[in-house]
Amino acid sequence: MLKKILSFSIFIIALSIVALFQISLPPVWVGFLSEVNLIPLIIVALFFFYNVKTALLAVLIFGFWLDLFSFSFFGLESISLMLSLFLIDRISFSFLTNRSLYSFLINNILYFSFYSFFTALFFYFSNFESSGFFLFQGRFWLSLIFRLTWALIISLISFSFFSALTKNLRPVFLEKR
Amino acid sequence: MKVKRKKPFFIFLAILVVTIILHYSGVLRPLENFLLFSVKPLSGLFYNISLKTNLAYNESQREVDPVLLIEKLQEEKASLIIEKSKYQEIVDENRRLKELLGFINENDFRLVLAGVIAQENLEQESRELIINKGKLDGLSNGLAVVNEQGVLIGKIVEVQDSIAKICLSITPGCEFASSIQNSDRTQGLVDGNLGLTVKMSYIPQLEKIETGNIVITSGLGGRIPRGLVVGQIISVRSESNEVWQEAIIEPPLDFNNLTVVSAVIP
Repeated sequence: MLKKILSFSIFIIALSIVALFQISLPPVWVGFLSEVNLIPLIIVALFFFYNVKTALLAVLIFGFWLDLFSFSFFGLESISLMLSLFLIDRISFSFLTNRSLYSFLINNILYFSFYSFFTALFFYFSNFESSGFFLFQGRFWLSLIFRLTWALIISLISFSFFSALTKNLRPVFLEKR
Repeated sequence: MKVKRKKPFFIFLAILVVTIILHYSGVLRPLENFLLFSVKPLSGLFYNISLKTNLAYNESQREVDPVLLIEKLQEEKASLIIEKSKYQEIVDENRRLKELLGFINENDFRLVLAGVIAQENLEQESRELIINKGKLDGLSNGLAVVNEQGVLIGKIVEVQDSIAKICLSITPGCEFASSIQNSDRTQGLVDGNLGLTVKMSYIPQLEKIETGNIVITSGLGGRIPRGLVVGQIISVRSESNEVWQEAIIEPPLDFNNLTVVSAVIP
């Protein structure tokens, strides 16, 4: 019991530190570097390597910190993270049949795309930007491309790392008798 | 099977909805303020690390000697601009007649020191800084923010209990009522220009402005006091067939290296 409480506390603290890191560091860097976003990567990794409940818990923790430091509608980030997770859960259950590298990459690409779309959409409606709908602006697509590139790079590295740690991701070949 | 897969989502969605309701009803405010207060130092530390890595990267791209010389000259230039503006104000004040009764000290304001803890990049040329002071420290919307030398950095655009967001003077949309220290005492509105400089537009052609003129806040409207240095005019666009002329103003500070700022409370 005590061990569970301790591991749960460490989990919350670790995710909170990652959230603060994400809020304070990458936005200050310039260009391509500023689009690094560890939060969706960690959520997808938890969803893929553990279970959906752990990923949902991460969504709540990350979303709370992002909303706390955000000056937009409280809950905007949490709702975007949760909706994106719901969609990739549906897609994974319906279309992706195994836990391979390509499945992990597809999950990451989809999650980043959904998350970027939902945050931009909610931000647009909550602030009524006069510069036009975000889908018709180049900076949205450029930012999305940079984020997806980072997602693919970090996913490749993390998948190799995790697959070396666990046997769950080893391929199983059926022999014909 | 499908219902079982959706069940955790319903539970966590319910928790999220309850959290949002508690936030807007104010029940969560003490916890939020406590958490923000606790993490502000860590957030500031991450922000400073990020700034230092940025600076180190920029330094490594340059040759050493000319860079040191240019930085030294820029610092000297910044302090000279501020001194010049102060002397100009003293000379102007001495020329005007002041009445003894009803005289108000024009520098009667207080400063609230704040640390920059995060940055929001809205667009390529648009940045906003988040500082670790808020309503509980006496801050409110519209207050000017300056650096340690009293040069205008921007103004507060949104404020929560423990944190506030400031727009930079070089950001488009961040406007200030300003005055040029020229013979005509030209008044106007300055706005950010491409995230690099500040621009004053719609200056009548009859007004005489030239490069080198100092631009300060005029104190008209809003809660920004008069006399805060905005920058120095570096170019004037004036066509004889146009009604208005335009001035480009360069602020004497580095917006990429802001860690400590002060909010000006009149």
